[in-house]
Amino acid sequence: MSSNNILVVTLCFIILLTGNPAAKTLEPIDSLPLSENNKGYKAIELGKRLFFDRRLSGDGTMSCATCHIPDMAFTDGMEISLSYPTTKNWRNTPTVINSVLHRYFFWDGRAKTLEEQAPFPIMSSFEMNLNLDYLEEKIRQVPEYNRDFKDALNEEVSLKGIAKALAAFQKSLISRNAPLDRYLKGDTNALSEDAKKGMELFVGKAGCIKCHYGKALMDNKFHHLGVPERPEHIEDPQIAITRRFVAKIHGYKDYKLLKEDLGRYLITKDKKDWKAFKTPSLREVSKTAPYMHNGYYQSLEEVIDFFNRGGGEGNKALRPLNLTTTEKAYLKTFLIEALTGEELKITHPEIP
Amino acid sequence: MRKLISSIFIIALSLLLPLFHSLGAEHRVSVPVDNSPYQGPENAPIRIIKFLDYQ
Amino acid sequence: MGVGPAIQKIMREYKGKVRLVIKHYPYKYRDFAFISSEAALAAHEQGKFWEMHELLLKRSPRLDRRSLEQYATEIGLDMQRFKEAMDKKKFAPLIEKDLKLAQSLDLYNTPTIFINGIKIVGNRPYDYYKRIIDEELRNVKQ
Repeated sequence: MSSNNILVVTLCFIILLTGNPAAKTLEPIDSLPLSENNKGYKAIELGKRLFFDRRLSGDGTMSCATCHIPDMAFTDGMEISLSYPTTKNWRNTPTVINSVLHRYFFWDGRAKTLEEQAPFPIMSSFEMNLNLDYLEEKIRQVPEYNRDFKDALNEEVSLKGIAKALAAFQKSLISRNAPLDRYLKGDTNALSEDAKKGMELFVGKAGCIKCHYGKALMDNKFHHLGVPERPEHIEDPQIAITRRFVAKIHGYKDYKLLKEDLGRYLITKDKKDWKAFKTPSLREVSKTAPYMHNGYYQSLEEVIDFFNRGGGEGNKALRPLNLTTTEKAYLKTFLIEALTGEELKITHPEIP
Repeated sequence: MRKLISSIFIIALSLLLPLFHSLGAEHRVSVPVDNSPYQGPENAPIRIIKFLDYQ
Repeated sequence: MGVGPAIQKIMREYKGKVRLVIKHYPYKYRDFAFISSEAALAAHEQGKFWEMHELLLKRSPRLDRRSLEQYATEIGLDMQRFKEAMDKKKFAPLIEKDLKLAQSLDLYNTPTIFINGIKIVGNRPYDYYKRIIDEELRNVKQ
C-alpha cells in the first residue's frame, strides 16, 4: 500500500471512528443539514431576487451582490469592504459560500443565524444604509414581491420574511465536489502529490487543523492572532467614524478614544475576546483574497508566513511553526488545489 | 497515432484546466463597442468599457 | 451613479495607453437616469459628449429636464437640435440597446467596468484599477 493510500485510509478511519467534529478531522461536504426554510425552491429564488435588488440600499446604488459578487466567490476583492457612498467600512467582506455551515456570522459573531444576520448590513450606516421599516414598505409596494412572498413563504411581505428568503438563498450556496471531498471519499488521485504533502502538514506540523477542521474547515470560535492594522486605516477619518460608531452602539465606554478594532470583545465584553475575530472557513480560500478581518494580507504566501512566524504581536494563540520554504509551498498548493469546489453558476435574476 | 496524441492532449488539457481556474485565471468578457462614445487611441493596450448611470 | 474621480485619474495618468468607452445603464427606478443618458447622447451628436458627460457627473443628482437644458446651454449646444432630440427620444433606442447588452452580460450594478474584459463591480479606489492596468501593461510587453 502506498503512503498516499495509507494517508487516506487513516483519515477516513478517523472520520468513521469519531464522526465528531470535536475530534478535529477533515470532513467532506456531501450531505448538509439544510433548515426548514431551505426546502422550497421558491424561497431560494425569492431570496436571490432580493439579494440582487438595489432597493435594499438607502440610495438604490447597492445590493447584497455589490460586495458579495458571485464572480469573486461572493467577496469583493477589497481589503476593506466596499461601503455606502461617502462612508468607509472597516472590515473585509467574507464569502457567503457555505454559510449554512457557520454557527456565527460576521467577524465579531454578533449574529447566530443567517436570518438574524440579514438585516445588519442593510441597516448599517456604512453599508447599505436603509431603515428597516422603510425597506418593508418599499418591498410591499412591489406587486410581484407580494405575490412571491405568498407563493414562497405563505406569508405577507415582512422584515422577517425578507430575512428568511435571503437566508434561504445563501444556504443554497454550497461549495461542492472540491478535490479534498473527492479525496476524503476515497479518490486518491483527486489530489496532486504536492497537495497531499501540504495536507500532511495541514493536519500535522503546521497545526492548521487545530482551528480549521470539519466540513467547513473552521472551529466556529474567535481568536486573537495579532493581525496588524494598517496605519493609514487607523488614521483614516472616515474609518475612525465607523470604528467609534460601532463601538458606541455596542456600549463600549471609551469609544471616543478607540484606535483599533476590538473584534468580538465589543460584543461580549469578555476579556478572552479582546481583539478576537471569527475563524474563517478555508473552503474557496484561493478566491477570497485579501485575507484576515481587515484584509491585511494580499496573498496566501503572506498568510502562511504570518502563521509560520507565530502570528502577530500580543497573541497567545500561535507559536512559530518552523516550516521550510518547500513546506510552505506544499501547504499553499493544498489550500489552492484541494479546497476549491465546482464553480457556482449564478445568473442575475430579473428584478421586479 | 495522430488521434492518440490529440486525445492525450485533450485529456491533459481537461485535467489542467480546473487547476488554471483555481489558480486565479480570470474570466474575460468580450463586450461589443459598437458606436458608443469613446476617448483615447484605438490601438491603446488598455480598453476600459464602463456601464454607468448618471443619477 | 457614474464612475467617479478614480477613472478620470486613470485617464490622466495613463494618457495614450487607455481607450475609454461609455455604455449607458440607467437604473429604471431613478427618475432622471434615462433622460440624462439621452442628453449625453444628444450632446454626442453635436460632438460634445465628454463635455456633457463631465457636467452630468459633476451636477448629479440635479438632472431634471430643465437642468439638462441648462447644461446643454452651458456647453454651447445648438439648443433647437438638442431639444428636438430630447422631445423625439431620438437616442432612446441606443440606450435600450446598451440596456439589453448589460442584461445579456448579467450586470446588476452601476458602475460596472471592464478592463480588457475583466469585470469590476462597483466604484473602486484608484489603486485597485491601477493594479489591474499595470498588470495588463506588463502582459502586453511580454
